[in-house]
Amino acid sequence: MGFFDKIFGKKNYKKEEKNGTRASNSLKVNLDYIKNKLKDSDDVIYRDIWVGENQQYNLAIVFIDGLVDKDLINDHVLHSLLLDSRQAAPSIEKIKRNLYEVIKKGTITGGDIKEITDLDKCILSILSGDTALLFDGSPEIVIISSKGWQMRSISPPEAETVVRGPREGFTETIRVNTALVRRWIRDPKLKIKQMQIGERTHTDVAVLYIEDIVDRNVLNKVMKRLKNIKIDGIFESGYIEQLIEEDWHSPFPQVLSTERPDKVAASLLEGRVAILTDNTPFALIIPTTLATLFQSPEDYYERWMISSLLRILRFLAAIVALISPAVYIAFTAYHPGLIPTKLTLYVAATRQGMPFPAFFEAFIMEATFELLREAGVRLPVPIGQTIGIVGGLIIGQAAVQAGIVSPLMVIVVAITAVASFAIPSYSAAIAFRMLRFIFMSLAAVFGLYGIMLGFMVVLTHLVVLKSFGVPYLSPFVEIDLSDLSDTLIKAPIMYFKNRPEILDTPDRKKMKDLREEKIESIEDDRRINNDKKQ
Amino acid sequence: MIKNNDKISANQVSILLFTTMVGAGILSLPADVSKEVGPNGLIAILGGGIVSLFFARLILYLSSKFPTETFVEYTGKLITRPISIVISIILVFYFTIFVSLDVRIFGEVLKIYLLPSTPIETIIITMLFTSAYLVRYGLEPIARMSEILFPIIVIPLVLLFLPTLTDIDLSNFLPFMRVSLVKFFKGMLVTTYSFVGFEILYLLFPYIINTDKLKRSVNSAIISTMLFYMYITFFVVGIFGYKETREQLWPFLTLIKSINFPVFFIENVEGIVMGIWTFTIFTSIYSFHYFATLVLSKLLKTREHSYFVLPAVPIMYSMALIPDSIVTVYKYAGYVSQYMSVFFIAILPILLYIILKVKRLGDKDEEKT
Repeated sequence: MGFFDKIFGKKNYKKEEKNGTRASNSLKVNLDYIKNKLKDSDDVIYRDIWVGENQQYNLAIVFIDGLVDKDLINDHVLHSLLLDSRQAAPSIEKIKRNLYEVIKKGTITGGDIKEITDLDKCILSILSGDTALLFDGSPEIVIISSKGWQMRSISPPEAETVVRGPREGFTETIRVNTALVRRWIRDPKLKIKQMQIGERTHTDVAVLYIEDIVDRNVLNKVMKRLKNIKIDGIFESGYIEQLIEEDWHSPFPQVLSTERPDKVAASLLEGRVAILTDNTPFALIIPTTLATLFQSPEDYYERWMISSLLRILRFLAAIVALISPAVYIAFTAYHPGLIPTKLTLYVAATRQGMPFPAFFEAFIMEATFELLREAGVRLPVPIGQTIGIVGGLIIGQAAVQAGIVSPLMVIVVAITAVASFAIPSYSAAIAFRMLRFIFMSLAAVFGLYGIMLGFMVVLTHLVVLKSFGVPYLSPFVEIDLSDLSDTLIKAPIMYFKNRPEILDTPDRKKMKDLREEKIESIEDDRRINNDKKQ
Repeated sequence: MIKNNDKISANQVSILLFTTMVGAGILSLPADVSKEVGPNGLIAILGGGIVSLFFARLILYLSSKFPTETFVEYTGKLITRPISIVISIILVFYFTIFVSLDVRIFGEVLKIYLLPSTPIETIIITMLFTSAYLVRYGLEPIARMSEILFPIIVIPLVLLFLPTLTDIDLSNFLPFMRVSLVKFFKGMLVTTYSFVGFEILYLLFPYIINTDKLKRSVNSAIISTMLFYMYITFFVVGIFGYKETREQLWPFLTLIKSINFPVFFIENVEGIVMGIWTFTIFTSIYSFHYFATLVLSKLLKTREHSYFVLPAVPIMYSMALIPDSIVTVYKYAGYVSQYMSVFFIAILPILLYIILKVKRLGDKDEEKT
């Protein structure tokens, strides 16, 4: 018990109860509190100012250098307070009654302000890049939103490029990302619920959904799991993904990550939930099923035939990536009789004098390939290409000429590699890459039967797996024919009249059936043509 | 859409029934039926299908009278508790025997066609453990697994036979019905044994969501199984003739061996068929494995069936190894189907039905099957 408690127990995590510290009426006390909390932080800037015709009112602003837009502070806070207020001074009476109200409503020209009385929240706002304006004689603090730091501009998503489709990808700033999604869906029902996760990092996390479409069960699960997270810091949406997924034993991703706002918007319209995390361009889409991992946004932009063909190709690619080395092992080592005689003879001839058994040969080559890929990822781009040439051409060629591996094996490895890149979701491709080694081992022990055993075990895992209550293999299980139109194939767009059945969406209808109108318009054309002829 | 665990839909029941019934039987069915009725195998299968359908609907009717109770509970009401316990124990054994027989036949076939040097014990134990891995998770994943495997089993098998269509000699089905009625009924009985598996309907009812569609799904399951058997028998007997068919142990595989598509670069389809057949056996094994442990857990009133899944594996394993050769396997299979299957398929439902009518038990009055 004690051992497991140590690993899984919750007792070690002591939650600090913060009731907050109320600001006092004295500017000095408040400022001292903030200074004390933020001591030894030299990037914090405190600025005392005197306002009023006789400069009799004492104010202070606090912000962090580098996180704020200095122009905004100069133009809309300092300039307004120090100069404009003197040129058009409000009546003395008003000022005497309530300086705070006058300044908040009549002087500051910054757009986004809010007021708080909690000093700890004030410090958190300052740390997030806001500017705090403190008054003498008033416990209220005005927080002026002045976030403006150096950020990457919107650029094409590198991991998910498309030939046809928008080139915009998410950036590292959550505000920009939510705006990108808003630009796709101008619906008041699009909700963006924001919360902060991480006891120390206070990372902004936004949950996006469309109120009358979203599957409530899924949304409630997501909210509950997000609220349960108690961690010191969230650094990437991968943290959240791993913390909220159902089965962390599984090699398969139960949450889809994407850099594309159009993919997020389309998923929201299907009734899914999206999670955006600050400081990362990767959004999470929930729930995810195996079929969605094979979808690319381009499928919906291109015409349906080519999209369907590409879908089939991707599923085949997944199977090839999974089992082709295993099949090679099984056929060469166990069942040479099952492949055509000519091929058997050819394989036997190429394997003549090979020092290694088929499994060992395949294992060496696959491991070498993974090695090359890993090395290529870590290296800067120009050297990465060199690795590719060294690996692909020199090692492959040399290994064959040295007689260590058969040329057929090199082809199998190459096809496997290419096939694993054809799967749109990187994390799904990783799953197939890892499982490939298990299939190879099974094929080495049991031949073809081993591959079937592998399939049965993997399928068992997949039928048991659920992503936020939705069966992972749906819509292949609990079959609904209308859902199948967007899986192995992508049917013409007029067949997507309803949202996916696997999600319990209140608003089911996606579009009006256009087919009848099409027939009508064809008849109209015919009538016009007939009239012309007459 | 299914959210609550361990409830399945009527469609899933249909597929689960099909995959449970279609098992090791397809290998030998054409030979068995040819032995009894000669060229009239197709009609015998049709008859067997109708008989099975009748009894399946009878079992469904019985269990629908007690919609929230399992077999152990409602038979306890009908035929007193002690007898019900004895019958339940026999039912557990019955399902266990089916797992053992299926896995043994599977091992023998695999040894002959794919893995001549692998010991049969290894094949059997790996298959049983794979089944146990799935069965532990309960009915819902089982139904989903059947849904996934159903098209993988049926579509290739149906397509594979098509190229041999030109080899069929229709005169192999003649003379038409020139067989004694006794022999014909015996043949029908033999084919009925190929439908064993629908006994799971005794137990399934409490786990189904939309029970109103259940009759239709039972009909479609048994009729599609019957058509599938007829399809295979049509090709086997049509190509070999009944005289040749009845001499063989597994005429189905002999036919597969003769198929070849030189154009498609596939010289023989044995590899593919063995793969598909592994799934076919797997679907039957896990189904029987699950229902054996389910009945056991209801008998012992445990909350979960999963406690018994792994302990059942060594028992099934040793039972599978009792027959010393494939001939004995089929001899035992004959005993099981002649005595136990007849009891569970026909005698028990009729008995229960009569008692039900006499005692006027049951929750609601539905129209007769």
